[in-house]
Parts: sequence; C-alpha cells; structure tokens
Amino acid sequence: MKRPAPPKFLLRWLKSFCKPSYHADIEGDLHELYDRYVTSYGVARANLLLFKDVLLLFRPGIIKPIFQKHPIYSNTMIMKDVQFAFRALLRNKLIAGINTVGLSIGISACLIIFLIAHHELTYDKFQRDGDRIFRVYSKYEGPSARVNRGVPTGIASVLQSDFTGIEALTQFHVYGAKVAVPGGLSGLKHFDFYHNIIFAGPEYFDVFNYYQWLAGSKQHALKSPHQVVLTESRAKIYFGELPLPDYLGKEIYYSDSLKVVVAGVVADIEENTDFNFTDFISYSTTQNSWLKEQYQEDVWDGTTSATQLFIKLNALTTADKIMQQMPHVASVYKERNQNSEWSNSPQLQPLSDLHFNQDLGVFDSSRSIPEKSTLYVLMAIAILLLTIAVINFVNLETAQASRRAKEVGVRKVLGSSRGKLVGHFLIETFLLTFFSLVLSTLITVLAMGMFSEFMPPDLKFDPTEPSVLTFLGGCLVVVTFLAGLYPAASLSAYSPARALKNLSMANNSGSRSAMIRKGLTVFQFGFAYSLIVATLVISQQINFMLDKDLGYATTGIVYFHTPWNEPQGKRDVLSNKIEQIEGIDLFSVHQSPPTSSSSMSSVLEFDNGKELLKNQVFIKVGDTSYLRLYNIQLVAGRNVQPVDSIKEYIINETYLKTLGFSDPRDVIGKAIKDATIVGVMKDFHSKSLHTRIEPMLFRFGVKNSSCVGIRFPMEKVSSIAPVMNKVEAAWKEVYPDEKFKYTFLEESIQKFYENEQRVGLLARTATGIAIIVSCLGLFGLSSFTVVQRTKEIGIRKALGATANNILILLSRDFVSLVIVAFIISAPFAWLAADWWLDEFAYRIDVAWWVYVVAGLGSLGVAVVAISSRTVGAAHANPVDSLRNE
Amino acid sequence: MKVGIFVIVPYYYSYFEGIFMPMQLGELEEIVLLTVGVLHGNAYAITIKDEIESRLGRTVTLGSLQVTLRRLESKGFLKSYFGESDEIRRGRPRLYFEITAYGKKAIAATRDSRNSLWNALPKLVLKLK
Repeated sequence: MKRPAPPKFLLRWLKSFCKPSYHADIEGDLHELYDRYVTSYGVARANLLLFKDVLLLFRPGIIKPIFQKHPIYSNTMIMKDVQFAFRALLRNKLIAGINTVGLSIGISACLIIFLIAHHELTYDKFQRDGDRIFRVYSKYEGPSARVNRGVPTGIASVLQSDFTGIEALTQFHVYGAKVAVPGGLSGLKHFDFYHNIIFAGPEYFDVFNYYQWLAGSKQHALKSPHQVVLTESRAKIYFGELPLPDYLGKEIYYSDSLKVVVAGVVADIEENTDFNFTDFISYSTTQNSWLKEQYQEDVWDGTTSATQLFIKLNALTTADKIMQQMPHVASVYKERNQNSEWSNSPQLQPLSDLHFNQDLGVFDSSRSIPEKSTLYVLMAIAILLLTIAVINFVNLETAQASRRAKEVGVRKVLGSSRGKLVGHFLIETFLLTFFSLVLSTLITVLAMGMFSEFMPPDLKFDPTEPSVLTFLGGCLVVVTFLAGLYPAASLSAYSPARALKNLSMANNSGSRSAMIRKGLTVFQFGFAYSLIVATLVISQQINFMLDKDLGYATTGIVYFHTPWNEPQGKRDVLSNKIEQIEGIDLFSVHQSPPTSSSSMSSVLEFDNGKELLKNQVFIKVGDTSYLRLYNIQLVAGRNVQPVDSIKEYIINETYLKTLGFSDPRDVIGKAIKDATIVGVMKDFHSKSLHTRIEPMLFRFGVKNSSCVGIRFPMEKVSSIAPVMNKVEAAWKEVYPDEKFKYTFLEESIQKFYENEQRVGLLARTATGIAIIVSCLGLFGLSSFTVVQRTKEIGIRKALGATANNILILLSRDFVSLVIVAFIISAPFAWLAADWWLDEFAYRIDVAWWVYVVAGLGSLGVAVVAISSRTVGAAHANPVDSLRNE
Repeated sequence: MKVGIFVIVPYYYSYFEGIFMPMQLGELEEIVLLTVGVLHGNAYAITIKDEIESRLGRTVTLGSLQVTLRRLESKGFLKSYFGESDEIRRGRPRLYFEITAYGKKAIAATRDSRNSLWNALPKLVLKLK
C-alpha cells in the first residue's frame, strides 16, 4: 500500500524558512510524525496536525537569518573584491574600454542636460512666498484675442482700493537708458545703454522681500522722486570700489537728463532670477519729470508691455478668490473705453510660470524663453542616450557569459553564495561606472565649451555643488544597478556543475539572454535610426525655410534703426547724406523691413456693397522706394504718392481675396474708411514660415519711421563694407553719441529660425552620440563573436568556405537586427516627423526616400562597425586558428 | 543565629558564545538532557519526544523540542551525528544526540543544587505533606 505523503506546500514552507543545516532532520521527523498521525487519525486530521507542527517550528532558533554570514567570504574581504574586480576589468581591456567610453558619453549627455534643466527649472524658486506672488496681465478680446504682459496703469489703483486678499501690490515700469555719472574729462562719465532699469516704488520690496539692504533702508528709499536704489555690483560699475555708505547721495544721469540720487544699495541676487534689475528709480520720478508724458497715470485706453503689475496675496487667499473679483476691473475697463471694440479682462500669472510663458515673455522681448516642452524632450533624449550606453554594457557582459561561467563555477565550488557573486559582479560594474563618471565630468567641461551657444549664458558647471553631486551620486547608483543587475543575476545563476562542464548555453542564439541581447540591440538601432530621420527632416525643413522665396528681394540689403528718441529732422539730415554716398543702389526709410518680428496691425472695415467686412490687417509703413527696394511687385494699380495728407493703401493679394475680389483691377479706387486702394501687391511673408500669410496693406509714412534700408547693386556686393563705413561716418556726424549697428536682411531672416537651427544642432549631436555608442556596442559584440567562433571559422575555411561566405555568416545576425530595428521604428519616426512639421504653416512633405536613406545610413554604419573585426577573421589563415588549442 | 545557604553555581566556558556561561539548565532543557541520557544511543527527536511523553505524561511539540536540542548542542551539552535513514523518514537522515562531558557536568551540577536544597529542607516540612 502506498503511504500518503504529507502535503507538499507544508514541506516547501518549512524549507523556505528553516535553517538549511537543520532542514533534513526536521523534515524526516515530520515524515515520521505524519505517518503516525495518518494511522491514528486519518489523512484530514493528520494534515491539520502537521500544519500545527510546522507552524510551531516557525520560531526563532529555527528560522534562518535573512543575511547569512558566510564562513568563507565575509565583509573583511571587500578590498579583495575590489582587487578581483580590477583584474576582471583589466583582463578584458577592449570590452571595459568600450563600456567606459559608452557610459561616460551617455552620462555626460545626461549631466549636461541635467545642468540645463536644473538651471531653467530653478528660476525664482528662492523667492519667499513665491506661490503667493502673481503677475497681473491683460487679456484682450475683440476683433481678435491677444494677451499683453503689461496692464493699463489705471488697473493698479482699482486693485488697491476695491480688492480684498492682497497683501502687497507693486507696479513698475521696465526701462532702458544710457547712463552717465559725474566725473571724467568732459564732466560726465558715460556708460552703455543698460536694460534692467525699473521705475518702482518702495512696495516693490514688500512683494519681493528677499533683497538685502547694504546701505539705506527699505523704509526710506524710493519714497520721494529722483531717488535710485542700485545693486552692489552696479554701484561698483558706476562709482568704483567705495565703502557702502559712501554710495548714498551720489548722482546719476539716465538718458542724459534724468538726474537722480542714490538712496540705497542692495545685495546682488546670486540665485537664478528673471528679476535681474539693477537700478530701481523711484516710481514718483516718472510723474515729476519729463517722463510724465510717456508714463501717464490712470490710463485706461492704452497698454504698454513695460508696465508690470505684481501682487502678493495674503496667506489665506487663493488666486481663485482674486479672479472672482476680476470682472469688476473688466467692467471699469469697458466703462472707460466705451467706443472700443476691445475688452480687457486681466488675468493672474503665477510666478512659477513667468520663466516659461512664450506668449507673455518675461520683461522684455530680448530674452529667449526656454520652452518647457523642449526641456522635457531634452531630458527624454538624455535618458535614452544613457539607456543605450547601459544596453551596451548589458549586451557585452552577457555575451561574455561563457567566459565568466568557469569563474562562477569555481567560485561556487569554493563556497561562494549566489548573493556574494552578485555583489562581486556589481562591484565590477560600480568600478566601471565610477571611472565613466570621472571621465564624463571631463567630457562635460569640454562639451560645455563646444556647445556654449546651446547653453543658457549664465550656466556654470561646478562638480562640488550639492545638486550636481547628488545627481552624480544618483547616477552612479542607478547606472550600477541598471547595468549590473541583470548580467550579475544571470551570470551568478549557473549551476557550478554545468558551468565547469562547459555546458552553459549562454551563447546559443536561442537562449533567453541572447534573445534579450537581440531585443536590446534592436532598441538601440531603432533609436539611432529615428534620430537620423529627425536630423534629415529638420535640416530639410530649415533649408526649405531659408531657401523659400519670401516674395521679395533679400540679397544685398542691409538695414539699421535710427534712435527713436531723437528728433525727426536729424534722420532727414542723415538720409540726405546717405543719398550722396556712391555705391548705393537704393535706400528707403520705413518702419520695418517686410519680414520683421515686430508688427503693427489694425482692424479695418470694408464695405463691399453687401456687407461690412471687419478684418485684422497688418500694416507696413514706408516711403515710396519701399516697394522698389525690396522688389515687391505690384499686380495692379500704382505706387503710393509721397504725401501724408492723402491716404492711399496698397493691399496684398490675401487681403484682396479676403475682401471677396478675384481680379485685382476691380478693387482699385475702392475705399477703406477714409483711404483709397490704389494698388495691389504680391503676397510676401511678413513673419516666419510658422504662420500663414495674412491680410496686409502698405501705406506711405515717414514720420515715425526709424528704419533705413539700403540696397546694394547685385554686382557690387563685395563693396558693402567700405560703403557702410561711409554711412557710419555720416551717422557719426548726425548722432555723435549713438552706436552704429547695421544688420543684413538675410541674417535677420535666419534669426527667425534660430530655434529650429538649435533643435537641428541638438538632433545632430544626439544622432552622433547615439550612433557612436550603438556602434561601439556592435563592435564589441562582433569582436567577441569573432573570437568565440575562431575555431568554427577555421574549420569552415579548411572545408572550403570562401572569405565572403565567412563574412556573410558573421554579419548576417547583426545586419538582420539592424533591419528589424529599421522596420519597427520607421512608423514611429514618420509620426514624430509629421508632428514636428505640423508647427509650420509652410512645411516640406517628407519624401519616402528620407526613411530609406536613413535606414541605409544606419545599416552602413553598422556594417562598418562589424566589418572592422569580421573582415580580419574571414581572411585569417585557418591553420593559425586550428593549431592553437 | 542565622545560617545562610550558599549555592555555588558552576560556570563553564561556552565556545559558542565566547564567554563563561552559568551551567544552569532550564526545566525543559534538563528533561531533554536527561532523556537523551536515558535513550543512550537511540536519541533523536522522535524517540526523545516519545520518551518524554510516555514517562512524564506531558506533550512536547516538535518545534520546542528541536529548538531545545539545538540550544543544548550550541551550549556544548549535547553533540549530534547523522545516522541511518529508512522508509519511514522517506530517506531523510536521523540526527542522533548524545550527552557530552560538559552535559554530564551540567546535569550533575543541577542535581547537586537540587540536593543541597533538599538537604536543607527541615524534616518537619516534608512530614506535613
């Protein structure tokens, strides 16, 4: 009769917790007891009793310790482990080298992008109660919707008197001016034109209360007109090194005639901030000087983006509560602007959004706003680059498995536990990662120099900074575990008997680790392939945009702006002088070149007989040579007359179509309000190619036109510099104090696509890195295969295989992986390219051959990486490989 | 005049703990140690368990018995060796125990301390019972 056996799960449970040395005996006891229970009480009761027995065995004294002290290895050998790890790395110099280079490249990319992201994301994070500070900005609705970072000056007083929940409120004007201080030979020491000047009241320092006062005090400074508070560094620039209290009472002249007295010095802000103002002129100065015209109080009908309004809520108020009170401001606005079609409902912008909002900008348009999405894309790319370096490591380590299997076998026979072996391999990975980290800090320093245009200008790399150290430490741990854990786990799993008998199947192409290796290689090359496609698409689009006919002439044209605050007469003098200069084909005075970042628009009404058409129309203003200078062609009608009193418009074709005409001749003579349409010009791009061509008109006007465009004859492009020197001489006669700076039109058009150029550079760099690292991995894998199959190749050649046969045999596996990667990632690359191109109103269609070329490119690179080892192996003499045992 | 009673507790050096330990036995330890002696040469967990149960009429769970055995072994009072196996244990070996010289000293010391107490006990107290 077969005896019933005790339930398996109870025995397994016992095994799971019992000390191994006690286990055999105790299990025997249980068997013996179980037999007795069965004969006395039957199977069901016996099971219950046995369960009770096992449960009572679950007690200290029998449960095995979680961390076993091993009799042979103990932690005193840790230095030996490090030594062994060193030796293991040195034994495979090629592989260790490939891993170090790959990892350090990946880590450097991560590090640089971490630095950029950390820099951008920590802007104004140091502000006290920053979550309670908001900027009030204007949101206009009317003929079109738009926002303005400024507000009409009237709003501040309404907020101040009628709103609840506001702890502090400050309104300030952003200003830029030439600065001079008494001293020097001519009585005045002049400085450059400085931005970062604001007109602010003492409340500014209530809202932003992190300023440290080195001289003067918050209570007294900026209270009365003609006072200024400086930052320490700016004070030093103006007056040199002085004891701090001595700065007080010094005089400064802004814009030549605004005389103010220093009433305080504050410490510079070391942290990242957009509030990098250096000169705080008292707000009341604007009302007590000639600035009064420019900065009027209680204005409701105009908004300048230089007027900034910040509020700090009290601790109990939320932004929602303020927004609920906002309709009151909107209704006051409506009341004051009864004839306007626009309505203004002010909004709140949290301080944390200030640095990233593309629509509003920070304080002036000169700063380029980082896009949060770009930052996230950068971070994703960094992580992917590091991933492919880690993949290299995993691939190369597991590929060497058969070589390491013997070592594992011997160690296990000598009593090493699996945990100890995992630790041993991890130490190796840790060492390698550590070297890579050291190397990558060097690479980072070099790369930061090479890609300086790419970086935020005030970005510095200091490896001792806590945030950088934390990142590097985190990197070390994460990379060690990511790269080391799988190889360590799979290598340490070999049973010693199999490993020593050379039966480990690690390198059979069907084994699990081989499959994982293939999958990872496909991932690497898929990523590299997608980046190649991205590079091609981006460069094609950039070339398309730069080469596209904008609808007017751009070559051989330079332009410059005359000082806007100088009287008009001076400009006329300058134009007369320029007219005398030889070598100039044509020149024109106008408000802005055809394509410009600044634009002017207005809502115009046109009565076409049936209905009243209201359209937002962009307006270009200039003299009569404007159209000729830029070679903008007239489709019908004539040029405008150089008279201010007659209002004549030349409209573009898009406006013509919007008005419902097809034949340009029909519209000539029609009236838009009090003006007559006298001509129709061809469409041209007045903005970057991100946006469509919009309705536009050209009218005569030289009064407020500060831009002077000069065209050179086509054949004399080389003579631009000498002629411009003459222009500069003329300029110096008219504006002795102003700097002369001119711009080539083509250059300024290229500037529109700076962001794309930067993205292109990024894509090229990332592609380069991805290809280098992936190919390093492939090179390592193939050289390993070649070494491993030396005998096989020898035998095949001895049996008559040609070098080509061998080459194909060795490359086939790798090439097919690259092709699979191409097939899998092509659809993703297509989707991504399409998504990116959707941002452009005028875009290329990506031709199918781009994908093929990218595929062939990655294949070609892969083949080169492989063949550097395989060709040698295929041509080797079989005698050599077969003779050595 | 009062006469104090001094019981001298012998100490032994425990190689396991690395310190001198009192040769004192717990109640179960004493029973197990004695039973191992009783079973002389045939002492493994099951027989010990049976012996205690039949002689003393008390039940011992395998868990507490195993723990006691191992503790006595680690204190140096018992030593163990793997013995034969058979069908009843499905091939698992028996672990036999026997008393070491230290073990013998320990039970002797225990008995001595008991005896000294017994000897000090006034006859009257026993008679009353």
